[in-house]
Amino acid sequence: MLHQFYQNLLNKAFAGVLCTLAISFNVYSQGIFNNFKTLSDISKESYKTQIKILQNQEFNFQDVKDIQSVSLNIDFINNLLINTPARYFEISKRDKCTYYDLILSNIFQSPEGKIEFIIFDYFNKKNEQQTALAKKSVFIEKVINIQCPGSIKLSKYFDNNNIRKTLQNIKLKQPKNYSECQSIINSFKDDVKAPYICSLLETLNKKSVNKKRLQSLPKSNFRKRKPIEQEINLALSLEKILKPEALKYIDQICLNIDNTEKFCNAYFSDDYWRREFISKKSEVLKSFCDKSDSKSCLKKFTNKNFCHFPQTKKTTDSLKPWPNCEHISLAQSYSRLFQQYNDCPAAVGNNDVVTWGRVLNHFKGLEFKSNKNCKVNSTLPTIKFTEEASDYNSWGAHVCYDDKIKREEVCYPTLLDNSDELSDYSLSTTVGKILKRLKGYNYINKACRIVSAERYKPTLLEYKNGCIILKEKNRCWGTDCSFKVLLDEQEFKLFSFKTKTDFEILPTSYLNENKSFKSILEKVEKRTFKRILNISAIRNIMETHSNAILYGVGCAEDILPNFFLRTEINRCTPTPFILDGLISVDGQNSLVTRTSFDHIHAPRIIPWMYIFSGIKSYQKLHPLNTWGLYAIY
Amino acid sequence: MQSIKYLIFCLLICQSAFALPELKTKQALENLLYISDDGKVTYYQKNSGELQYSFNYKISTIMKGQKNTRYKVIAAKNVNHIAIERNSLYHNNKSHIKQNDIFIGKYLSTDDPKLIGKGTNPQFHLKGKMLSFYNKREKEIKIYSVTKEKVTQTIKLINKLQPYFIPQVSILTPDSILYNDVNDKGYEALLMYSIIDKKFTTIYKAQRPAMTLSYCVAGETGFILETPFDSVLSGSQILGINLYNNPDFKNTFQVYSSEFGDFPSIVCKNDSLYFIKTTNYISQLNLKHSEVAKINAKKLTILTKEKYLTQVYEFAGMILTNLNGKVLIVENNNKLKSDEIAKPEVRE
Repeated sequence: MLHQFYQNLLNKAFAGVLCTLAISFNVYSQGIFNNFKTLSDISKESYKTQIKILQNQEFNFQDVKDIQSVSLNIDFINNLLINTPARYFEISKRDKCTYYDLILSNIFQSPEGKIEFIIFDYFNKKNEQQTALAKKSVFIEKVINIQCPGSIKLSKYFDNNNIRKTLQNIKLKQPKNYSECQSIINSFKDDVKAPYICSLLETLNKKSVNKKRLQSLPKSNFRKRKPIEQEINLALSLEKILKPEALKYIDQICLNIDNTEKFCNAYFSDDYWRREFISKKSEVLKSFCDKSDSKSCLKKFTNKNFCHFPQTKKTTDSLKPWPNCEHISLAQSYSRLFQQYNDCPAAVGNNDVVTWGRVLNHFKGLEFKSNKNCKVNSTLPTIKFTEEASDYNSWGAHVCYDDKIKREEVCYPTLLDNSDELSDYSLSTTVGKILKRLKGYNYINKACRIVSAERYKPTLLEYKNGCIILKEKNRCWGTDCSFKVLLDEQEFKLFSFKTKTDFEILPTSYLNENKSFKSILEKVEKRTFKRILNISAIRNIMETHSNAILYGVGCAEDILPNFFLRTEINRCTPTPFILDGLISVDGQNSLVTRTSFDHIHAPRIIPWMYIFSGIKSYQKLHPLNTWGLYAIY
Repeated sequence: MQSIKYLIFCLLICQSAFALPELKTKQALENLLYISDDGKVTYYQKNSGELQYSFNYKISTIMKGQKNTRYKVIAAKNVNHIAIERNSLYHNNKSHIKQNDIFIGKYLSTDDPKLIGKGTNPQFHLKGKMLSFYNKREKEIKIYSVTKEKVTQTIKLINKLQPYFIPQVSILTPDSILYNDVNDKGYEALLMYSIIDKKFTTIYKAQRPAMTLSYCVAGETGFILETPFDSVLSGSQILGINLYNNPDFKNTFQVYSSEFGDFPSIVCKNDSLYFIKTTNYISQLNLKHSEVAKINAKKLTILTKEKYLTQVYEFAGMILTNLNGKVLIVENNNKLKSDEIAKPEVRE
């Protein structure tokens, strides 16, 4: 909050400006431009007169009763406000020192250009209020140095000598999505460095004007030439230090500091595809083009329909057609889900695993190198989470054998694909463990090889010895698979493959509540879960928690009515989904949605009412009548 | 102030006058699976996993499954059988490759239904003589002969592009099977398979990729609704096509067209077509203003005032739609007989 004193000061200032405007409107009625020009002229005249009067008065800082009570004169502030771009009012509202920051950074301009004198009010030793004038450098030393020493220190970081080092330490955060963009500009307004950063822009903008001014000045006028030369030199070194992207960023944020929407719209008007292309490390583009770093890839997105069925060598098994390129670009501009990896929901074969893999990767980051095998990017984080974070062992796929000594069936949770990193859960390891136990096979020295049935050639020497796991064509997914085990060409049958289904994305009974993913994540990862009932709550969560995402379960027939037809009453395909962006237009809302059918790089824009209907329909069928929409942060 | 209150009250009354009535039933609606057109027979399920029916105030159990099993029951007029799809672990195992059990049983009988295969979407055809269902893992349409009590035909889809695709199937004659499929370029087509000739004929191919075809059959005519998938920028149309006396299916006629993409939901009933018509589209929100429309005798009528409907379907002789989790009645020409128990005669 602004200090009451400054609020009053500011109110008076605006009241003064408005009164002057009103008078000028009465006196002159030849259009707004004329009136404003006149107002500016009046301001200049009154400023000159005031300076003249105060220069003739004697003043000594020793007469000031208390330096802390010195304040800028209200007419002086009025004059500064009239001559300074209105957008900077937004940062002048913060506190007392901000006025000084705006003076030190040369953002505040007097009617004559750069501020040379400061007019201020003070109480003399007889406790009478007086107005006086001081040179800017003297005022800085005598007043600002006492009242706001931090401002003096800060201003030095931005002078010619230190600017390079200072700018190296300033990190300009590029917004990844719309809500992050809003929070960036809001925190920039509160940043004490904001006036100094924006003054760099003003310096750059004035470079050509300053050059002309310098040419018109005789070389003998050393006093006037020096500050202009300094400013030109600063502009030249800024051009060397700042990259074009940084310059563009400063330009946008300072020009639109009073208009969040304009800043974010300007930032995101450059389409998503171009931004991804420039970033050069985009995993997203790889799902659309094989040569994602070539310009021909970028060109493809100009055809909106290109995104429906992109042809790549990568496996992207998911709900197709994907949305058009314009919709994916818009959705991605609002999206915040971590997605620097590929996934393939249809190849995983379990919708809960797809969504939970995404939730875990979002909060924990990829705990392993992104796998070439897209299924593993969903299954590996989920199996690690289910097996290591809790005692409930709810992972679905197990390879089992009958232990005659223990007289019990022993089962190993199994990842049905080999990951790039060594894993105890990989199929070759779990089958190897059983072969070691029952046949004495040393799987550590010679791991079991996983081979697809169509590639298997029994006549080749390489298949004659050791352990081969033969996967059946078109019958293997990330969570279920038909396979045979061959040991030295003989089929090994002393094992069984079991699919257990204990996934509880939403608990179906009060007894199982502790086993649900929600409970485990809450307990182990210390994440907050909040039940979300309406769009206001979604907006609130998205604005206050930059990393928050929503997950839920609803009927696909309501959420994706183009793909899942309701042909009979109570038909409902339970579908987990993640919401990670809110788009509002004229009071109506849609959400950036990734159902467990959708590819991670092809989010859909789905109206809130479809999502609401989907959750409501599923709630009616749920044994605990659970409303299935939560925010996690 | 008082007048404003009256105005708001009046507006609320007016609005409710346009709203569709909600379907209310004696049973919990979410457990209902089938009601005969006369309302006398009801098949329903329980969360405990039981499948039951009630007739003449008598309740009978057909089968008992695991807790939280969900069923689908298909029965039709003049069909003495019922088809059952049993989806065990409905809430715990959400997977497109999950194999549900398909059973066939006798109508109004507690005899154990017979397991005939694994798959989804069972449908009766040819007055109950044939049954079709779809095996998602194998991507195969299975045709089961009720009289021969075995699967007599299997059609493998060519679709590799849309992993969640489930075809619509109709058996028009004992020789001809109508179904839809998708090619590797994303074109959907309506095909006819002749069992005797072992020959596939394309009845209609979508005009461009990313369009979906849904259809219904009324008498000898098939009505194909061609609509774009979600977020595909294209219009919609309904085409009529004679399915019986139409060599190579060349003669088609347009029944309806629209500049907007409608939802792929269409029902044929009593010489009328019901579908969801889009009247406006807000691209930035991917939001359609869509209502239930009816075409009868070449005349199009909008039946609803609700703006955001997405599906229309038939149940117990009624035309229904869903909104905000509620089941709404669009049209009901059934005259249900009262099942009120007669009050005992009181003699004075």
